[in-house]
Amino acid sequence: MKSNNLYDPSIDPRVLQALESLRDTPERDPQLAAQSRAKYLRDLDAYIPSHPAQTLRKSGESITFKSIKERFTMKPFTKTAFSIVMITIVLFVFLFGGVGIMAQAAESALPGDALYPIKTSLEQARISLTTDATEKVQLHLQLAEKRMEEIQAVVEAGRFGQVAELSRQFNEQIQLALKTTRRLAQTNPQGAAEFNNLINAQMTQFSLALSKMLNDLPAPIQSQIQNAIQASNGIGSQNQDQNQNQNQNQNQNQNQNQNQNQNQNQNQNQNQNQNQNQNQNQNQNQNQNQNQNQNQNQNQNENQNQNENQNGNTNGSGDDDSNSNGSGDNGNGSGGNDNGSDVNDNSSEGNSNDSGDNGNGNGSGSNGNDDGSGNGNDTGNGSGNDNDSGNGNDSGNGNGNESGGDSGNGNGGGGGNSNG
Amino acid sequence: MAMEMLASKPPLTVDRQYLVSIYEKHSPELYRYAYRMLGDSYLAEDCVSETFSRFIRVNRGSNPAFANIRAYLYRVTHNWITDHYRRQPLPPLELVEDIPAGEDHNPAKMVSRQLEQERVRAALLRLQPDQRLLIELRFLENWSYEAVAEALGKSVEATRTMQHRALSVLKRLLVDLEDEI
Repeated sequence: MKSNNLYDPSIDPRVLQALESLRDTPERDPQLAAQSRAKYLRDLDAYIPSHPAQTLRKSGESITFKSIKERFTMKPFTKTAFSIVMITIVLFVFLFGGVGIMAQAAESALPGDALYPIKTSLEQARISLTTDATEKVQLHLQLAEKRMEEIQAVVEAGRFGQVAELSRQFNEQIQLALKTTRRLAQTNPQGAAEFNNLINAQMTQFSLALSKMLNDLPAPIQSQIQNAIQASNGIGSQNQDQNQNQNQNQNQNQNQNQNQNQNQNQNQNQNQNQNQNQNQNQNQNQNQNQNQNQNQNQNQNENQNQNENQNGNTNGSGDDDSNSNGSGDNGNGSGGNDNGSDVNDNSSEGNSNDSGDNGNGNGSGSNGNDDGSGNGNDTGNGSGNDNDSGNGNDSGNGNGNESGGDSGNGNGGGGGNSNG
Repeated sequence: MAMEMLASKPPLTVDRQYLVSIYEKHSPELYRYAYRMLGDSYLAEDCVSETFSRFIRVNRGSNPAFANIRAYLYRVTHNWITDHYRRQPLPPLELVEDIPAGEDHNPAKMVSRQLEQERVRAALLRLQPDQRLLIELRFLENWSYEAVAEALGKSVEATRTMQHRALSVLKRLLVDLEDEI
């Protein structure tokens, strides 16, 4: 205080001394400070339009309704007929497209946000609409992964109170996935083994991510999270027993792959791409599992390659899936197949087509995986680009790659059309 | 397409990032400032929290329009404290008599320190609000004349004069009163 030349000597030193007694303040309570910081971030969220998808939706709707209205005014007779068509379209949009749009808007919602209940109830609806055991397991796994991403987002936003509930929900999804897998094991032991691996990978990822976050959190929440980690480890160890029994099946499959795929050089390239993506995620366990899955997918592709047209048809419906899901692993995977067959229709002939097929199929397969572990649209783009470079080796794959990128972004329908 | 999405996003996130960085930067010093005048960690936390939520409301979530954010934030905190004390009777000034004699003894020293703080706070609260802000910024936050002048919306010269007057009032409240006792 004396060092800075602020004060002239005419000031009574007793006044300065008295003021000085106020200068030192005790340490700020970190928990209170964290609470007010979280409140500030909430206030920010309330005033900043943090969901760009919402504004997009509004402007998009107004444009389409306006243009449709202009068409209405043309002929009075067609008006009624057209309105019936319109109602049907609107119904469809609300039932399918609407859900997709809302889902996209709610996709980035966090617990406590206005859109979050919509997000969860949509998820519930999807689960109850799914009857196929395989799809159900995949859905549960996706949801578990979403919970994990939400935990990360919530921690970044300083809303520590939500962490415990989210990790409980994560465990719940994993439990449900396990339960369904057990049911699946009776009919499809091979698929169940795959899923067990996936589940294990996700558990590992979860506890890795949580223990990484642990240091940033206030003490009372740390203990809650440690409970969550322990709980997930508990599930993981239960699960490993089942895996050991079923792993042998997978190995057999891989052998078959090697026998049949002697001509395919592209597979090797694409495996390299996938490894790069997954390294960023830091999940070594998951990498191994995903590779195995993709190999099995390649088998299926080869079998179907002889009927190129059929691929186009079946994959068209696959594309729809990828639209409504946005980030779905399956949706993207089948979207990839679609692209592959498109390439064949368009460009070249002979042997090079077959390898083109495989190449695209694999490439979009890796899209699916990346999407699942990443954070929504942006990572979808990133992996789309990776595929581009992977497939760039062979001519005739250019179209397929572009649409691969598109489907990664949830615009699979658009990409499919431009190619067909 | 990937590029378009990237290009459309940054303005929003940058904006938010900036507002968060303002909080990170000023919240600790505002807390200390509030604590000095309030003497209570919960109240001080409330005060800081309320200051920032007023800050966001005023800006409606956009980038702040005014030039000196720091001065603005101090002003809002200062007003909150003024309002807070307006809602209750001013603390009494004559607490000096009760200071225990044993200065070396630790707990007693702490008590006497606390009493001294309350006495200074009571004296500061008897200044004009602007005088108080000036004294706080100059002597507790160590701001320059120029910075304080900007925060008060006065010229540097007027600020000097005002400081002189404020100090003499403070002297009467703190020192002369003590001498009389």
